[in-house]
Amino acid sequence: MKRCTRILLLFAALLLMPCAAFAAPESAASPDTAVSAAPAPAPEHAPAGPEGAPAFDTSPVPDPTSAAEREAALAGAEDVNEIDAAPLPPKRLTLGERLALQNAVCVLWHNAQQQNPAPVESLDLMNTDAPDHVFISPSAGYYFEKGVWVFEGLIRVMTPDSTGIERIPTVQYFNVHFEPKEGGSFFPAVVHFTNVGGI
Amino acid sequence: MKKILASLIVLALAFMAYAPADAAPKKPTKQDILVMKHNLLTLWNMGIMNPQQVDTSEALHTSISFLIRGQMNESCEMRSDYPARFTNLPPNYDLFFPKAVVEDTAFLVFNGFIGEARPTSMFLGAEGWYVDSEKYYADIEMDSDSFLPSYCTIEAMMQQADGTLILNGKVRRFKQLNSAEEVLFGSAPFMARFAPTERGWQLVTFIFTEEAMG
Repeated sequence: MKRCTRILLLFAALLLMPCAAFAAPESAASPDTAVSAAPAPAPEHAPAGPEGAPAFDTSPVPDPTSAAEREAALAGAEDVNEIDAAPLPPKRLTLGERLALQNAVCVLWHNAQQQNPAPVESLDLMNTDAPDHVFISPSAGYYFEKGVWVFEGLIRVMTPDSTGIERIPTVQYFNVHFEPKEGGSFFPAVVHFTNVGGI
Repeated sequence: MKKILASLIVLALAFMAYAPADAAPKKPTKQDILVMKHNLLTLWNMGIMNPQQVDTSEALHTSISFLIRGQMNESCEMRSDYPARFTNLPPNYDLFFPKAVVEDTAFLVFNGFIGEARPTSMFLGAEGWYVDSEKYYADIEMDSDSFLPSYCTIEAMMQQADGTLILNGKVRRFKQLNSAEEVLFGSAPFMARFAPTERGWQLVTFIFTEEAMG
């Protein structure tokens, strides 16, 4: 009986070895997790669920009319000053998460341009590709509070003219607040798109 | 009993040998693709058109420049936000990059490892690199056009049998000229090959071909 138990234990161990070996690469760091390896985070806030999210606010907001704001936004560089003024996040976004949220802004913008926009709740923002030639130049992307991340900047749409020259005829300012959802996803609680004059 | 034991061992060994061969090549996630596009755009904006342009003896400087240019939010700790990190350091050191992040960037983007060269604007602490940003920016030449609005599109993507991923696409940059619109100011088709590794998708090779503007 003892020998039989030993055999079964040996067999179980042999079977578990490859399982453990296969599991390891899955848990290995992805490029996204690798770039976010910064130490630090303070205890995480309890994320606010989508149920508690405020109603969509799609009313226009005033243009960023100050020359400095406009210039900073048009420069296309990330504005670290905005982050200076914001509280530190309990957990930083990975590069992949940030890019996915920026992609979601383009998807939201594209949806808003439709004659009959779909309800935002119905959009699979994290798994939908942004339309080609729509891109954003973020002027700020910072942690706000309670797990909310704010992105703002300019949206550009490239359209070739009749001679084939690639142009950007319109630029819009955007301000989107993403609230955390269970499972690591996000929900756009506040969405503003505003025409920017001068271009 | 010995026969049973032997057959169980053979069965287990057969399972171990068979299963890895059955594993499919790793597929990139949507976020992986977004990161690849972002990294290629960052390289182009840095003026790096192919891997041969990167001096391996300057892998540290190049990797930190890459992080400053494209991943400040994710990789950098600033003295103003994390003062404890900079305790007892001269005040001119104001940026911190974790060692693992810099080493991953050198491996995943520049296909190499940190060499021995130590730029004078950087200092290696126990957990990472401290950068004197004023000296860093004074030491490098920056083309203001490289900060113009730009984006990257993928036109074709195919995965090889060995798991590597080949991307073909184009990067574009726009500038507001005398007209009221922004017009194409620079573009470059590119080809890039990425390989899956345990640390992530490694950029194995790439080439940008700058297009002449009419």
